[in-house]
Amino acid sequence: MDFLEMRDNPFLWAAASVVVINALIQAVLFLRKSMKVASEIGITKKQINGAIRTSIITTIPPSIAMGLSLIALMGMVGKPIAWSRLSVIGALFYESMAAQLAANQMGLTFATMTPKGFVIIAFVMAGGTLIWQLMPMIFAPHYEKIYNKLAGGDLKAVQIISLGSIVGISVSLLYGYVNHRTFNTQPFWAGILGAIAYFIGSLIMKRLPKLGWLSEWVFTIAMFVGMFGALLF
Amino acid sequence: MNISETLRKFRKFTIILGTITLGIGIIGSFLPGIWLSYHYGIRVTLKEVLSIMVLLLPVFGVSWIADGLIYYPILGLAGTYLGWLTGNVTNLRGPCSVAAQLTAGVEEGTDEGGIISVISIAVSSFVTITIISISALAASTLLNIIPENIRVGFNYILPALLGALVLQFGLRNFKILVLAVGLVLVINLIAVPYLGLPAGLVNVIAVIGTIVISLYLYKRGKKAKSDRTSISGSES
Repeated sequence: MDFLEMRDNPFLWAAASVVVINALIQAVLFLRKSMKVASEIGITKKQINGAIRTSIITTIPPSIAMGLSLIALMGMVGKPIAWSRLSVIGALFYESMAAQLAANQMGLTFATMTPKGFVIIAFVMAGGTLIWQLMPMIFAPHYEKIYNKLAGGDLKAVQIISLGSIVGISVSLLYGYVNHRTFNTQPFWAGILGAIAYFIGSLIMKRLPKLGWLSEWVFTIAMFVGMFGALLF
Repeated sequence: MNISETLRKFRKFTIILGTITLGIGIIGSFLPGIWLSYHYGIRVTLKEVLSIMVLLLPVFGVSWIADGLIYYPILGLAGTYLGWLTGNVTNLRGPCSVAAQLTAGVEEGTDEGGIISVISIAVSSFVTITIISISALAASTLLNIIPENIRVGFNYILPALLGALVLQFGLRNFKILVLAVGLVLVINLIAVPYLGLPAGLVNVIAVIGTIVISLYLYKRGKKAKSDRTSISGSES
């Protein structure tokens, strides 16, 4: 029983791929249905394409960053589990912390990992995300009820709830970036530059309506300005 | 079929598909552990696993319970099922959904917003899975082609996005922006160091606080307005 060999076992790959395939199927089914509903409720192709484009562009850089972190996680738990966890539910921060904590508790390092340790780590990683997924699975319709009740059928109230949620989370997360012990100010500048770039972009759009076709790209461009501009600091 | 009928049917579809796939996702997460346990012939007790999980509670406990509720307004119903299956809601799907709704010019919290949210999260999910899979196959080689400082930059797209979002939405309702900033500062500078608020609660309280307070102020303002109109109405 060579432990290292276990990490690349085809059966383990099969077990690990269930969640990924499940997520892909769910996404396909939701996508198909929502596209149909979209056209029925009057959302235009242009809107959908804009949304898809923004989604792809927004997702690529963080996903590449996650891809890079895959290497680190692979060193801890092997390719199949690392691939599975990072592709779907599970982020490097949580997974590596869970794996590291588990190893420490058992007095092991990843170099001296035992089969039992490996099994426990696999269970701990899954156990943590269990609640994250169980809550929406059971309560999503209840969340809907709660927010509907809060809004009380008032459209303006719905907007306030959404705005409050978006701004609240964004500001809180941004502060989290700034407040790191690493004294790295680049995320802060990314946020500032992104905001300024967006502001300037939307002003330009207002003044030069001829460039209207560009307006869908303002957001995307602002993000990249922020992202690369931060590297200058 | 009229619109409300369409949406009603979609809602039903959403709940059924979402519940089933999340259920499969939860069970699926345990499969590697179960298979490893069977293959090695090792039996692991619940106690052993829980004793380690308990260490994760202080950091993630609140998130585990509250995140689904907090992100609901952004993701919508279907977006919630999708987002929590595919993961990375906080650092990717949530902001991605908002950005997509912004580009599509739909109002957040509405049915249109919900549909755009689903589309954007599904697409985002495909992209992530594809890239991670490529990384797993090609691993170090492919990704090392990208220069070091650009790789570092990839971590900054999220704060850049958040900055733009804060500005965009903050300008729509300046009071909410001021409220959010004020709350975040109070929580981080006063509540955490001096009142012993656990760090894990920071985001939750910031969001819930912003929503609740701004909703309260709005409703109070509405009531004051209707009181004034009814008074002036009776006077005339």
